[in-house]
Amino acid sequence: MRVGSRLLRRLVEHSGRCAPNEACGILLGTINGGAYTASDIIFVENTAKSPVRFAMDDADVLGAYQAAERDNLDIAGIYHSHPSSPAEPSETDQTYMRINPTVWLISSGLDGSFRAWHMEGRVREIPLTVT
Amino acid sequence: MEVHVYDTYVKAADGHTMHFDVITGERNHDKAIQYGKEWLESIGEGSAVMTTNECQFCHSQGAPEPVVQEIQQKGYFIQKMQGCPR
Repeated sequence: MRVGSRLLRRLVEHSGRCAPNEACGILLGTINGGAYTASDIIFVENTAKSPVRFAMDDADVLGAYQAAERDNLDIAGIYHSHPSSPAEPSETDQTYMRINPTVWLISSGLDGSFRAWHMEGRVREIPLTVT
Repeated sequence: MEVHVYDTYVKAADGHTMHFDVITGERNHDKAIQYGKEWLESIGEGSAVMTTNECQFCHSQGAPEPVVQEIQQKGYFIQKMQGCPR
C-alpha cells in the first residue's frame, strides 16, 4: 500500500484528537492491479466511543462510498488506530476483515507505527510505502 | 497491560437493550459474566439476564491507563456503548 506522508500526518493528528478512544475512517484512492494507493481519508465517528474497539455508522460508510464514486476514486482501505496496542489486527478486527476484504491500515499509539493488513484466507501484512 | 474484551448485550427491566463491553485483566469468561452482573446490580438492573449468550469474548489488546487502573482496582472496566445509563 502506498500512502502519502501528508495523509499519514493527518491520521496521526486525528488519532491524537480521538485518544484514548480508537479513531477510524475510510481511505480513498486507487486500486490498480492489486496495488492500493491511499490519497485521502474520510474520518468517521467511532460510534463505539471505545479505547478497545471501533464501529462505524452505516450512513457514514455509505457517505464515503458516495464520495468515492463522485470523485471517481476507489475505497482504498479502512483505517483505525490502536491507542494502546501494537498496529496489528485484533481477533475482532480479523472478523470484520473477512467481511470487508480491503486493506486495513492500523496505527499504534505505542510507537506511532503504521502497518497495513489484508485478509487472504488468513491475515497477511502487506508492505507500506510512504511517499 | 493486555486486557480482554467481552461484547455484551442485555435487556434492561424496561425492555430496552444495553450494549457494553466488560473489559477484564484475565481471560476468564465466567468472571467476565460475574463482573457484568456486578455492574448491572450497581445500576439497578440486577434482574437482567446475562449468560454466555449475552456476553461473548471479542479480543485481547492493550488498554489506556485509566482502564488499566480500574481493572487493577476492581478487576474490570465497563465500556458503555448503546442504551447504558450515563
